[in-house]
Amino acid sequence: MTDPLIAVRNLYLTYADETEALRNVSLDIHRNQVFVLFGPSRAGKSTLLRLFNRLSDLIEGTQRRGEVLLAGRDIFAPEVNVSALRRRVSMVFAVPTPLPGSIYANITYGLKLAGVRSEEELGRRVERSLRQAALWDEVKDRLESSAFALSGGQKQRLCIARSLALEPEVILLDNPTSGLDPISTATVEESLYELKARYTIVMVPHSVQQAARVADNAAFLLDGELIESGPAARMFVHPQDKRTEDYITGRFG
Amino acid sequence: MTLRAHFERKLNELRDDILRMAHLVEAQLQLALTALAALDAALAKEVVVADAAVNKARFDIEEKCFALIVTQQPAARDLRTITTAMNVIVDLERMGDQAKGIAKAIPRLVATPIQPHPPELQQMGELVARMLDQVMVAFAHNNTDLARIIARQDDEVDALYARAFSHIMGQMAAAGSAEKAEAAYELLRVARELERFGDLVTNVGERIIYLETGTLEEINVDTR
Repeated sequence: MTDPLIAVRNLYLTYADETEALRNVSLDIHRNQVFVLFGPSRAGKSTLLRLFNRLSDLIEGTQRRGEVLLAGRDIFAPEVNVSALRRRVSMVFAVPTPLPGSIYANITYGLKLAGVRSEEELGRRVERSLRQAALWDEVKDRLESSAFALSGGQKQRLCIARSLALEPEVILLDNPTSGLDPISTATVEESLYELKARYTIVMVPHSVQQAARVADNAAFLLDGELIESGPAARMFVHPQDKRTEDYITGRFG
Repeated sequence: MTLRAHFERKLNELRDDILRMAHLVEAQLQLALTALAALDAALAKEVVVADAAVNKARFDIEEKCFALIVTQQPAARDLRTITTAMNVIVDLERMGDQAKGIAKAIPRLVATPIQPHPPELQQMGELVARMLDQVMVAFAHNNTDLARIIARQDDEVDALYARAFSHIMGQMAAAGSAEKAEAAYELLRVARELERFGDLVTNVGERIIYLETGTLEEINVDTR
């Protein structure tokens, strides 16, 4: 097996109020797959997800031990440029957050910040990222319309396209279909399936059922601990730990 | 590839796995019949040992079905395709057991020959092998008409069984020794295994009809 793209090693995270959000978590995430972090609320899923691009830095008073390696390098090392890290590891949130302005401007905003100036290059990247997010056909004739005019599912795919424009290696998704109807959810799941050919996707799902549908590999977290991780087809058929079984079958959580 | 295309590829793989398993079962049956005709105990032993491969195929396919159910959350025809697969592999595995049962009767028939074997045994064997072959064609092409035709052939298997039964009962009555009577009993067992094999092929036919129509029906009701 190749080296993991993301390796978490004995990770502990404690918040300022001394809640232990993560306790001795270790896991490997390999390239070009959908890796799902699932578990009940307060399990530490979103905390872990936010560590991967150091959004967790924004929370005052957290204490961390252990390592998160991206392609073998510690993302918390002092020499790491956080903006560059976030360009490699981008985040899509639960609630779609389009920027004010046109669909086109939403995609080019980050690119311009990153120094892309050529209109031709910008146009090319807009089309490519919208295609990859499976949104191009729906918006190609109205790129100048406001992003707020899109449906919920379209907004979320626009946010995915916006992260793709910067050509990240990893896309983090925190419950990306929470506010979406089943059809839009299916479209987003479909685009994830196609995206993993190019990117590595780490996702906190909306439900156990979604976890089983989208995951190649999954990790079950409970009260800040990693209970088990492995291929989805195994974990959702024969979980190894009784707590995983109980959660998957709806006995708690 | 889209998600749907991926799922369909998996369903096709499942069908191919089942066709391969059916080939394995058919080969087991043919070998058992050859061993019976030639009274070849070594070949019979091979059939008994090779049954493990049939069982393994069943469990491997079953695992794939579970993974598809949990990861694809199938509905409607997709769900019927997978439940059909799960039923068909159980029937195939039992057909494998029937072939093994024939093979297990052979050592005693070698030790205490009973001649002649009723000709119906080989006839039943050829017929059920052909039925299995056809039912797999019906399965591969979702052909319900063919499934019904095969079920009707099972009446012929039953008729052959009835004749073999009388024949063997006659041999048992004339046995004259416990050894001969036991050997005749083994012949009866062979006949019984073949008759049961035909029933299982019919079950597969029923599953094909269920897959296509969504209704479970008995396609060959035993009225005797």
